[in-house]
Amino acid sequence: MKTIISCYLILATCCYSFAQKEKSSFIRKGLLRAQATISPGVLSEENASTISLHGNLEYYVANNVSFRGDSYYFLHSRFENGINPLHFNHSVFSGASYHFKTKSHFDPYLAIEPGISFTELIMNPCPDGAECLVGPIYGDRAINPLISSAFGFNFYFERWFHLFGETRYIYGKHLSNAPYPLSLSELRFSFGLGFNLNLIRKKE
Amino acid sequence: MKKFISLFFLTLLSSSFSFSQEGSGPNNESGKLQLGLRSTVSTFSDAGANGMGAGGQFRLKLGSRLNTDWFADYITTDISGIAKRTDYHIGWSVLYYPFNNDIRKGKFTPYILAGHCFDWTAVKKNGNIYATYNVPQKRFSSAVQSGVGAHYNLADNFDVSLTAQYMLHLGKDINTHVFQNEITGQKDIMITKEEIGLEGHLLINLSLNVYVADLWNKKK
Repeated sequence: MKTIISCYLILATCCYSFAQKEKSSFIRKGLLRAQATISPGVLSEENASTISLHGNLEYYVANNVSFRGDSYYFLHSRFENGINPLHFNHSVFSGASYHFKTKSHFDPYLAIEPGISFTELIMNPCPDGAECLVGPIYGDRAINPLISSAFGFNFYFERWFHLFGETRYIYGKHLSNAPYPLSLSELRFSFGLGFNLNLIRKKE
Repeated sequence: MKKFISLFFLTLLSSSFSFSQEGSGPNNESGKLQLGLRSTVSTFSDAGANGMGAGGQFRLKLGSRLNTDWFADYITTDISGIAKRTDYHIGWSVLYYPFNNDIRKGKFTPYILAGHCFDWTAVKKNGNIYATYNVPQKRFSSAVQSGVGAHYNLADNFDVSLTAQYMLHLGKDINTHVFQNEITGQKDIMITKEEIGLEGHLLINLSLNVYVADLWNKKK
């Protein structure tokens, strides 16, 4: 967890220092960007960690505002108590980002995205490793509304590519026929390489 | 509660009337279409629990000071950790801009709104997943809503809107009563369907909206 935050901060600082005094020709209306990455997360109220595949598509409707969609495909979770009740927790979000104006290719932003998650809990009647005659029992699948807020940055360094980093907080609850609700409040981190192109030619 | 609702509607009606004395500007805004997504918090319901929802809407302007909002919401509510309430809303509202209709970057545009909605509600007790004895209660109803809100225009073609509206449902109310079960010693819930009556809740929406088209395609 500390390593992720340190890497993220170092990356952001580097990008910001390199980006000084450049005039950005990338960050403007018409920019389309997309990325796919692996995103680790921390379920803050359940003492658990998760791994998801994260994909994103974003279009700049104005120089400082973009409309975006994000999807997370759940891969794995690990709960500290070893029970591991989350079978899957896929989520999709759609919303907008506000981009703070800079005089460089560095593009810090703040996003708000409502979303939904598709979840299922699993109850394993036997402890890990023990032989068991009864198989795991699956709870009802549920669709849960979510609200999320994210902050991060893009650093455009080439015509087609950019570097990005993002931290997202998700708030929601799995409500199903399981014995108790499971909090889906989670902090997710994403960083990596993204692809971009501008769909509107710049006026000379 | 009834006094509060009557007072709320009377205040809204009188403020709408006084503001409507002003004339409207040129009708350049008519026909503009917006698409948006929203998060909803449902609060002050009879069950006493707060719900959270996600949904979307489109807005079609009918005049410089008049807008329409067509929405759909999916809301879930955790009732004391032992039951779940699910609400689906689909409806429309008319928005009136009493102070200004300035849709430009950096502008703040307050509005009042009223409309109606259809909804479907289900309340189900959480059970042990080894047993399936839960019998959910369901109902279909219609509602009227009224409230206030404001757009903040982050760009010429994009706004963030915050709305607070009171929604009054006419239909068979689903009533929940949480109590301590003396046999099991645990919290339990009784879910009952009442006769036709009024039931209301306050909805707070945060929405993000982008202009996508000018349907009438007027020349300015």
